Amino acid sequence: MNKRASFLIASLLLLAAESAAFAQTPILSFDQAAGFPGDVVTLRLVLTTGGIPVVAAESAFTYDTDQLTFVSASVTGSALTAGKKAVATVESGVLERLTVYDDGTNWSTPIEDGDLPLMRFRIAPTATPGSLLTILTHDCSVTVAPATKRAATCGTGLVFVQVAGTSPVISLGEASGAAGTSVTLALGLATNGMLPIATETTIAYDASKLSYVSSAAGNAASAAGKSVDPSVAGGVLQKIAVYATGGSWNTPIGNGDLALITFQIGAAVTPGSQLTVSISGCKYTIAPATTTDAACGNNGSISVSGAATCPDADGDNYAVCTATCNPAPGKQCGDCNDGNGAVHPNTLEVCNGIDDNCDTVIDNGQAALCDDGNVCTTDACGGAAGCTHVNNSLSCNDGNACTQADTCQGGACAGLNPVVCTALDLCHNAGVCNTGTGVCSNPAKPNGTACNDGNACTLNEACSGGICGGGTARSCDDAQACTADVCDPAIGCLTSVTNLDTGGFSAARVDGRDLVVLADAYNSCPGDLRYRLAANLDRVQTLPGACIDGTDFHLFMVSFGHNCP
Amino acid sequence: MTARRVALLAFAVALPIGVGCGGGGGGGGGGDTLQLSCVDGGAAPANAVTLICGGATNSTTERVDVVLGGPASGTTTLRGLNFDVIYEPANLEYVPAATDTSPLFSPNALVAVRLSDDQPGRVIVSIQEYGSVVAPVSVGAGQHLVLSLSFRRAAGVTFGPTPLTFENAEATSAVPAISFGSALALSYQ
Repeated sequence: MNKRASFLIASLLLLAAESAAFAQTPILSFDQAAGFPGDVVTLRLVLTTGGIPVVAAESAFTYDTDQLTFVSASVTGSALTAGKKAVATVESGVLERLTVYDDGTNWSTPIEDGDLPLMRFRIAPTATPGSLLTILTHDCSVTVAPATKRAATCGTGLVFVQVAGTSPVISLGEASGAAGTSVTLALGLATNGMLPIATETTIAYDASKLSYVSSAAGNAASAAGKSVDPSVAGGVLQKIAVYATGGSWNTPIGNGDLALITFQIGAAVTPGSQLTVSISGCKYTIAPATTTDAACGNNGSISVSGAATCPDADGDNYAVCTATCNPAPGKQCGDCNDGNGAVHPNTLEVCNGIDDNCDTVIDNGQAALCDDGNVCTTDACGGAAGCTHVNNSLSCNDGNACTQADTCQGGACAGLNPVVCTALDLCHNAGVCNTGTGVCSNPAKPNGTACNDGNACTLNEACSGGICGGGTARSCDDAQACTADVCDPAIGCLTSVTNLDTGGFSAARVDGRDLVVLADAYNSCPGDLRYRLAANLDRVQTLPGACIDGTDFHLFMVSFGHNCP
Repeated sequence: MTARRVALLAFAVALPIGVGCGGGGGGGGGGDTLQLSCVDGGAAPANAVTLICGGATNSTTERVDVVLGGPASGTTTLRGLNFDVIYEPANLEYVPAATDTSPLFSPNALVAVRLSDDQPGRVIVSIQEYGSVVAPVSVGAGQHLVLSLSFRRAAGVTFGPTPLTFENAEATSAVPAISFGSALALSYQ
């Protein structure tokens, strides 16, 4: 610790001790000021009455007249009310004493706590920069109405001679991080020989790219027992103040970090970009309460890490990528023509003579690219000339199931060979073709409609529920004794002659001789040597009924024993 | 032979013989009440078909058996028989059987038995084996029942012996030849 700093601290400690010892005694205290050699500085002479009704006060002064020259004392002050006035006693330009009183009608009005006249001194041009000049008050007293004079505690004024051209410098450091991550900037202090006990820095940054997260005391602030007080408005950091309110309030802050400020880099911030956190309005305070501009040094700088962004000049969200760049968020690599927004991967290839989808093949797909969905045109891709569609005569489907042979004609599908609906049978009318299924409806004729069930052995059939039936049995009786009267459903009435033998006594009757003929041919079928058509009384000509069998025997027996006229 | 049998023999002698010989007799009832009686000419001669009394079914109905007499030795073959049985329709009625079968021929033989539709008193009978693949019927010695016919008294009549005879009778493919003859008579008195 240098000599000047030791003196300052000792003085402050002395002032604090005096204040404690005479807490119930009126105090006349000086504050402090700072200035460069040749500057005029102003110090406040403050009265603290301690609850005593002070009507007048006075104090004597002693200071190094080689370093300080009294300039003036104001006639106003917050405590100079009700006609009180301050009278400075100056001898040979040296301030000897200051008296505050009222010689008028308000002489007995108490002086309230507050400023007595403001005392102005000029720092000698030869004063040593960095030195601390003192203005001692002594013989301090107050008068309590009506005329009781009491001693008061005196304070000491301090004037810090600043070093010309120098001041503490407050700077923000640098950091780097990827988009979406947090980075911390150090708010640094270079005291340049000054003894700041507090600092204040205004912060500005692009809140669209950086978000304030938090602040913490830096190493220098922590070492001096200081706290960081961030001012935040709407989530945006406005100012960083570093000070202490407790016992270390007047502990000077050394070189180092005042604060550590953490920001979050926006996720959409372009990698490789540089973000600036500006500082301004840098101030510092020297003990006990003189605040002076400090120099604002470097702004903060945040490098957003990441490779360069690959270009997407045509804005189709497909960039032209190389090994040294990355596509911007939301974009993809692979554009093969960054001057044509219609050309990029994953787009539809069209017939136009260029590689639309960047698969290295021009018009990949050829004819398929030109499919117009019409089977009646033959599609082809002609490169830059585009698609051609030539009418053909292929088979097609016109969507109408009631046309059975559809063929392309003039570029359209023509339905040919229509389904012709016919009546299913005599008990149904011709229906209508369903274009969806190609099936004809099958409407039944009204019940009672005359029909033919195909059975030659029935007569007068009629429709019922679309079915032909009913009717009466056909009678095949030909009134001939020697015929087998039978009805064949397929043929109708059959009247086969059963008198198979016409010789002798059997000539005119059906008897055993006829049965002999039948028996000889019995169980024979057409083609057999024994077969006799005449014996096939049921006249069935096809197998198996074509054979001479039991049916024929039973037909024969109908007329067995009959006489044949 | 009983007295009744003697009388029948005398009656038999008086009957004309058609083809072949008749003989034997039997059946019939007798006594004090009216009943249908049957008299025949006895067993069928060899290779001959005759009618033999088959027994009374009741007092008004008589079964008449058509019997083939087997050869004295060896066998006789045939494929069928055709014949008419003639009777007096004023006295008798033919009673059709429920089923006409012949125990002599094969079960599948065609058997036809019908009344003539225009000649009362004539039952036309035909029994035929059929088809060339079926062997002819072969018969040996003895009496062979061809089939049975039933007759009953016509309502309200009494009558003396009335004969049942064959007409249009012939055997089909018979080796040796077969003759037909009948000496059977029925009476109701």
